Amino acid sequence: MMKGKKRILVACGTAIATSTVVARKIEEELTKRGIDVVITQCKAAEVPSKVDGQDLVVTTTFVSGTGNVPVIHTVSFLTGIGMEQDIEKIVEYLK
Amino acid sequence: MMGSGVLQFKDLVKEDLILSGITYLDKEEALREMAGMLVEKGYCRPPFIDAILARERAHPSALPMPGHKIAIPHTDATYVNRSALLFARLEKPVEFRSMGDPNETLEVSMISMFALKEKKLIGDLLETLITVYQDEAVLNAIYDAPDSIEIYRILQKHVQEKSKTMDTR
Repeated sequence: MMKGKKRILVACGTAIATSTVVARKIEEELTKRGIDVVITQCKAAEVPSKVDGQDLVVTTTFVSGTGNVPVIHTVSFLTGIGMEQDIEKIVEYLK
Repeated sequence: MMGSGVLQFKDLVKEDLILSGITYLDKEEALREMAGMLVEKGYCRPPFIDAILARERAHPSALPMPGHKIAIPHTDATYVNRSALLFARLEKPVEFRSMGDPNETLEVSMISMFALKEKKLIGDLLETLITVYQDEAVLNAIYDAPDSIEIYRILQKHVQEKSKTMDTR
């Protein structure tokens, strides 16, 4: 598929519970599709300092300071509702 | 499986940390009382209570599930001595703000409060538990369970089933 690893920053309030679940779900789903990604977890407040060099930000809470990096704000990976569509969106952004 | 340090169901979920038929006036009381219980039992230190409340204000934790709504309040590991899950099924739902949209309020009938210390060891279990909560039939069963022992059994059964399918996926 694509050359080189894409980078996704996954943010939530505390970077301990929610983003862990989100990061694992994304990684599994993308691996199934043969897409290799590097996922970094952080707190919402850390996004501005960590967004550099990322291809995409996926967050469960409001974030700012993301510059030109696209942001997907979703809780689908926690509720299970709309997860497939969000994965498709992520795949599109990473192309 | 991974190293022996990985947290298993029994390390996190305890029968005496499952509450059924409990009544709270509102979200604040629920969070304060539940966090207080974790402090009382030695899982957390006293500042955990304010940390949970502050985190909930900044980042609401109710999930807009299709059926019964569940909130998953948690905060960082600073004031946690030992990881634990405190689960409460409420007699009457209380209003929480939705994680997806803080302007939306949800009538929450279950609260799954996480005290998490070992972030690296807890990923599998946490993911499995959240996946179990995504199953509307499971939340319905918990909602209808006669007592907390049965709630424990339901959680245990589904976490075990789910982790099997997730391992062999």
